[in-house]
Amino acid sequence: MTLEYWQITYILAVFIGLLIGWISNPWFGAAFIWIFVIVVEALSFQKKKRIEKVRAGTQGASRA
Amino acid sequence: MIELVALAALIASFYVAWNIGSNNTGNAMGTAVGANVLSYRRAITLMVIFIPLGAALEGYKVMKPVGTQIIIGNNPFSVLPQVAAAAMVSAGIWVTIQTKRGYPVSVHQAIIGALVGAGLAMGMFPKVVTAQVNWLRLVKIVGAWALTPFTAAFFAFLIYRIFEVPIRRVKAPEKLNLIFGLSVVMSGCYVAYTMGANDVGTAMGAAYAVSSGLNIANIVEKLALLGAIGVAIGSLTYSRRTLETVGSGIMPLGPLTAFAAQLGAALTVHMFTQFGFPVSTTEAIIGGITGVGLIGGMAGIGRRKLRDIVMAWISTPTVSLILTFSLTSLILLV
Repeated sequence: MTLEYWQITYILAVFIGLLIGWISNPWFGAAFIWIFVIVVEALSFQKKKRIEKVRAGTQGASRA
Repeated sequence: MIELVALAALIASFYVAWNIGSNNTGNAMGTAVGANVLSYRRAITLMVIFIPLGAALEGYKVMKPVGTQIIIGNNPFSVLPQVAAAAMVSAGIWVTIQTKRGYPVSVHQAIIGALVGAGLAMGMFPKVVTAQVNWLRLVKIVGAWALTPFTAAFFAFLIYRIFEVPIRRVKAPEKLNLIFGLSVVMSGCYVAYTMGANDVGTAMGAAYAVSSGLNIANIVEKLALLGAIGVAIGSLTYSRRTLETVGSGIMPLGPLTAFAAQLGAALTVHMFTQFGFPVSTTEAIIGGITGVGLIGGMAGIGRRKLRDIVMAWISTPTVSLILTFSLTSLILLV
């Protein structure tokens, strides 16, 4: 199984979050991970390939 | 010798945590995958991030009550760790069977059923411990179970109604896709987080009771981490079938319905976690999906599938109770 680019960014984010949590407060580390994931996912949803997938899901919803 | 048996109990708890990952991954990400918002691979990756997060930050809130308040006595699991191991193996085996069939059952119910079975047997055949089931605590837990699907359904219904109007006003398709996609993914991550907090705490409760007699530093954190690793491995290795059941088996899900169901479930589980109640994420998410399904009438809900799932909920605690009672009696009588 090969890692994709976004998976590597998530692994890095988890390590940075752990580091923040260890140095300061665990909740700050958790907040960092949450914010990082939201930003990466938001950027990802602006990619054409993923928009098409969500659009298909949205159309499925209106049919449902 | 006692350390070796305690290790066996720990491994059995790890097996239960693996079961949670394999059976309950569908709860967090099934709706998102079913709504075509997340790929299977992306869903699993997010699970592996957020379950440990919830376990590390809030797992202790449920772990301690499960380990020490359901079976009371002179620390029976610490004296007889083999009974804890038997309870966890019994709970785990039943959940593995249900996972193989593709049914998302409540691992909580399996665990609590198993603990009660162990408590009943230890009470009936007192050997070196005095143990009894804390019936008052058990009644409260069962009450929380009964409330869970209805609370989740109510929250999901409310969330759907609140978000429905402003989302309909958004006309730009790109913006709409971004809102839909992001909301479903984030609510799925929130479910994964609450799974870590509640499910991992429940899975490691017996291990906590066992290790309380061993005087190990930072035991709660270590157990939470171990449980989180078990859940993550379960998600990675054996979660596809139940994920597909939750995602598409109950009713067809759109992004808004998926979002409302997930957020409703996560809020419910998180709320009960604060009070130390081991509640079922499975019941919550299926309650959430059903709550949203009621908006369009019962037609959209796969009733047969729902009936099968409810039957599995009833049989789960019963079977694991009987299994553990039999195993524990055997251990105590031999």
